[in-house]
Amino acid sequence: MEAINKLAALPERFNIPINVGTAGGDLPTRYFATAAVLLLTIVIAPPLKLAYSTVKIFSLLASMSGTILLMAGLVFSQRTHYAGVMLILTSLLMLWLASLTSESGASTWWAWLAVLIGLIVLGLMAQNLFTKRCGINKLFGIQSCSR
Amino acid sequence: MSEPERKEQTPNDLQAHPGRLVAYFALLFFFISQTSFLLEELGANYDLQQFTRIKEIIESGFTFSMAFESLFETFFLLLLSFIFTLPIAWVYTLTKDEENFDSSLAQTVVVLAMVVTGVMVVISDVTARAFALAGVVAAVRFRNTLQDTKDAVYIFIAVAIGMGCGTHVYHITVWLSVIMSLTMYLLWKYKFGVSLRSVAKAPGKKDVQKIYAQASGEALQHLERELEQQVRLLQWAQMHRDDEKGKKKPNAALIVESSDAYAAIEQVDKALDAYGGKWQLANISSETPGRSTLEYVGRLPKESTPGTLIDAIQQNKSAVIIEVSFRSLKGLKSPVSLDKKSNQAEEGD
Repeated sequence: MEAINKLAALPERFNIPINVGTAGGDLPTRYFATAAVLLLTIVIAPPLKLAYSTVKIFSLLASMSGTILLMAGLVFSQRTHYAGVMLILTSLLMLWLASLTSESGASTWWAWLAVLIGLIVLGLMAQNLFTKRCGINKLFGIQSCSR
Repeated sequence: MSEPERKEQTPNDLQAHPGRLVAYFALLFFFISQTSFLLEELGANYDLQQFTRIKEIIESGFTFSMAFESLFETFFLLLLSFIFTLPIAWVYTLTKDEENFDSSLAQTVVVLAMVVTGVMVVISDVTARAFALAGVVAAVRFRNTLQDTKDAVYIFIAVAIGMGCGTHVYHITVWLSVIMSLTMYLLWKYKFGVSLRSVAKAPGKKDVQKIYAQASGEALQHLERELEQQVRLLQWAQMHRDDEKGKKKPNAALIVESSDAYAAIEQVDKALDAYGGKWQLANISSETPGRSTLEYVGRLPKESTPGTLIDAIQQNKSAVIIEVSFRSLKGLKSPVSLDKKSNQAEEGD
């Protein structure tokens, strides 16, 4: 019990401005979106040599789950917009880049670019979880960052 | 980094944005197309012999038709039914006024479509469908007496969506969901019916100005006096209710013309005490010498009439009371709300 209390007091002690909300499924869906982008980045990486169809299936599943999160945010007023927007945009962009690799044959330049984009998005989402206000949310006028 | 202050939005503020409905449908079509691509990709690249039912769905996409055996298929149909009906229920919650809103009906709209889908999945014979439809409609109709005819429409839309999903006509169902949601929303938004009536019947500003211009100076003075008195009485009634919270608002006024104010007050008070009801002297005024006007606000006792009240006051046939009149304040609203006034004063401070 004491340990739990100490853990709960941690953010205040270190004054970490956690900007994600615990309400409306915001935090769990952000974790889910981060994990999905991480998985997609791994799947798309050229050293793994996975087929384009596998990458496409993974990307579509990520995008579909993002769409459902965004739909839930719209109808149920849950704070799942951020995860939804990030998942849809990132997965489709990465899929497009992977398709360019598939079309151009041997060159893996586009796939590496997709991995780079995946890593950048991952960085943004990780930073977003623990440090700064949600820039992307503000860009879309979405109020999902309050606690 | 200092955080900017954000105004917390309530669920109602958020949900009442019509753009959200459009966005929901856009996302729904996007989701359907994504599912279509996914199924196509799965079917083309993987051998799904172990999952025959899934394979059949993949092969036939969104226009598949087959025997109703699989639990997976039933789940899929119910999910579609739920997704299609959700915006209908949402529009219902938006468009229904607070007084007649029934949350159970909003939930029924969503659940009913799923139930009907289930019924249609189980009864796949065409003849049986006709019986099922009759049964469903009768069951809904006789379990609940719907206050508003529009409620029945929502129920019928849910039934139609449920049947559409159950009989695999998704292309009809999705458009039914889109078009009906938008229709119901637009009818509510532009107050169809109410707006038509008000345009046809309500006198315009120009009509009032014309009447005002035609009236004589004396008539106008009388009209202004009457209006001023009515506003004053309404404000007194409002104040009386604010002073005694939880009690009913005075809904009537008694106007007594007298030659001697003090004697008249004594006499009227005695008569009102004997008659019953709760009355309060609101105002005494005297415009001409030897003539005073007493204004009372209050409520008539139950099962009594204004006529009997006037008779009770005039029964002594005292020379002090010249004239007694009764004015109902029922259904009238003060043009100047005291609450608003006080709020404005506070804001001004």
